[in-house]
Amino acid sequence: MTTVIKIAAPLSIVILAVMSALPWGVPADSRFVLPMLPAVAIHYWILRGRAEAVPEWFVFAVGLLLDILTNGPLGFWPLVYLLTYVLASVSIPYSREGPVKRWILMFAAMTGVATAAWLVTSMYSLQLADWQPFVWGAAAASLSHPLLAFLFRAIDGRQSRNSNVLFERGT
Amino acid sequence: MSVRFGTPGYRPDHGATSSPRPRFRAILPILILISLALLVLSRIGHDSIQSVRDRADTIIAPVLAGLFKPFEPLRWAGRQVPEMLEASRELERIRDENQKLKGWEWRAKELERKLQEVTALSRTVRETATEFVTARVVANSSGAFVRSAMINAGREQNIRAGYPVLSGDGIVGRVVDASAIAARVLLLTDLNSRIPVLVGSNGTRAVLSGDNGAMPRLTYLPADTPVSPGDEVVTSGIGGLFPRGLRIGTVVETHRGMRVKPHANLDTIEYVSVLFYQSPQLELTDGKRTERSADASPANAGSPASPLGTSGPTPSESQP
Repeated sequence: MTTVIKIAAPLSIVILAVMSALPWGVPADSRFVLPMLPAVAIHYWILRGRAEAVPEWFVFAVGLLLDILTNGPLGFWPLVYLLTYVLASVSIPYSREGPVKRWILMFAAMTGVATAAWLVTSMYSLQLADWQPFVWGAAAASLSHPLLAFLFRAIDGRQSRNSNVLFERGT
Repeated sequence: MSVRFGTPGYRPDHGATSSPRPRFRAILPILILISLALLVLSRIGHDSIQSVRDRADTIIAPVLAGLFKPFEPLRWAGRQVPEMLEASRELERIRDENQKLKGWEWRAKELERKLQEVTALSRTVRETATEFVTARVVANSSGAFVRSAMINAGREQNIRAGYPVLSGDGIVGRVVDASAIAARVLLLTDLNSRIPVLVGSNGTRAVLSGDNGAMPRLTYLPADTPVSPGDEVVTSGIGGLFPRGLRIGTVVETHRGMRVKPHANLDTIEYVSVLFYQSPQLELTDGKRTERSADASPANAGSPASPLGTSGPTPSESQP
């Protein structure tokens, strides 16, 4: 793994996490999608086999940072992001069959993550939370995946191709 | 402990050079347990959690304010698009409103004159003007739990927990936590927000209760009280945290019953004013924090009760 990937992968997640706390003027009901974007990034990098650049403690730390930034209960986003990490990890063997398959895996992961987030929220509040922001968050995060994947691929793909050229010449 | 899984020899496309097979190391369940423990501590409101937040806010607030500067044009452009789409309709509405306001202006002047006469006759004690400081919103809550905002002014600007927060259009919420240079504002739409209010021209008492939705609801309304869409909702001053008569919003009818639409657009607030409103209730909400602040900073020890004390820098206050 090149140094660029080692830096770019975690940096992209941190940038998305910080951006999700900034006051963009997004309506409160729709704002739940923003913290789901780092989850999309975590899923992307793990599925691409970059787990070394995005270790568990880093995923935990980013979640904690977001909890502090958004004044939410500490531990919520670390839990959600670690769940994303686990779901992405178990999906790796099924991710080789093209971008559509990867998108379906990502959609399934976001659905699972949003469901878990809704459950944790309901248990934390001791009442059933409104499910609509979670559904909207999962749907919007899934729809944003192609765009984010395109951006990440621009970094990841170039770096990998460079590595391949060196490897081929070596053999 | 290291549990490997995945297809042996699997290599993701574009050829990642490292091993693509992730491992569930022992650290993963430990981190999950820590997350759960933090959630429980947050739920019971442990002091250590609050302390961590205070320290973090002090560091994070200026960083966030700086980070957002490059994105300002983007935010401005994002705000302009819906405004331009609404411009012609808005112009029509403003024309109508202007006509009505001209009538109200005449009436207000008349009432002001009468009020001066009555005040002079009754020798009523004049209410002292409340000072305020204006601060910028540097972060918003994005989760499903809270509706809050972080502002870039804190105890150094004499802000204390409990102070009301307003935008140009009306009440936004109140300060719930203040670190040295930043403060958290609990928006009136938050699940934990309760504001005693007066509804309509009759001044019916009720409590405005947030539920994390866009429009809070009215609770504790007396039975068979006529509340109709368009009724103005203002603070009642009962409870002591808010002064009487601050604008909040208007009653609107929704599919979920009567709700209150805040005048302030809580999604796009950029600048807010924190009122230095003195109330005995503040000692209940902020007393503990004041002690902590006094302990931490000997320079502030003599002036915790006075928001305009001489120990801190003078905020950009003026008359509201």
